Amino acid sequence: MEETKTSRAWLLDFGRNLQAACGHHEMWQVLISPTLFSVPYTPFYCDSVLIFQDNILPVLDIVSLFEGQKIVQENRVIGIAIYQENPNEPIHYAGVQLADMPRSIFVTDDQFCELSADQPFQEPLAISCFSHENQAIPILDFAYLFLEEFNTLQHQRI
Amino acid sequence: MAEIHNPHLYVLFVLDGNSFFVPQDDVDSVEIIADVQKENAPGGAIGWFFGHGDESPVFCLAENFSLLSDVPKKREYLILLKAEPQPLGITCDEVENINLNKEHLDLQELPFAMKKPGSPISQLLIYQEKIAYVCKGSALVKHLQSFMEQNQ
Repeated sequence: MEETKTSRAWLLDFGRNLQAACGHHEMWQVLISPTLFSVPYTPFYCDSVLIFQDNILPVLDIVSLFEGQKIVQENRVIGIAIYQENPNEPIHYAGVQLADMPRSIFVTDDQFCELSADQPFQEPLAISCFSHENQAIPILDFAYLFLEEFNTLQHQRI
Repeated sequence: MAEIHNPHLYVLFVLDGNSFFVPQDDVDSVEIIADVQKENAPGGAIGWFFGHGDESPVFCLAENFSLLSDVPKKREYLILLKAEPQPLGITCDEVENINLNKEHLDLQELPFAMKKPGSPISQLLIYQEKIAYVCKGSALVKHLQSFMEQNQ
């Protein structure tokens, strides 16, 4: 009999009923109300940075990205995401704006479901999807989110 | 004799409390705003600087690179950027020469997610516990020239 694989993941709440998950190793830290610095002449969904361990990290606001305009949310929880463009490339860090603290959950292969067409996370931004508490939760590919290809597409869309 | 190029030398200029760095090689000179003549300013500019055998239009920018027609009181200096056919000026509150190496300042590329077509900012750095913006002279010149074209 084949054994069901269980993985740990973070359930991320971006606000405005927008949820997704990432692998447990892909969220390094969570910062509560860190100091953000605005950078002029940048896309409205990624217009600020924070200083994290002497590095300057972009802070991406997924809600604004999908709403197509700047949405100001009251809570300022920033997840420090880790991504790698491929296994031979160095690790990168980036900030992701969240509405609440991420929840650590366990996900089994049995929970796999199809990506719902009526939510904004689609392939290749979402690499898979699972059912959790009667909701389809997409699994994010942070590397693609911060890649040149994805961001060039956004400029063409705006 | 060939000029000595030092890639660590930058000119820091301040707009409304925000720090901008531009390579020293891209800057022609630093002047005082009292020398700007405000008559017959070309489109978008606040006046002319006459010097070094050139007539240079001078622009006043907000910290978000938009054009200001009224010059804030704090603007005491202007940097003249090397450009063809004539240098172009930007007013600023403060100006200073900075050797990044000596000050232990490291440049970081602007992340892909923050890039926007036409932005003069190419890199960022941490300066005095804040974020400073690094612009190539050519990108700033292109930005100013776009104002001149729009206002022709």
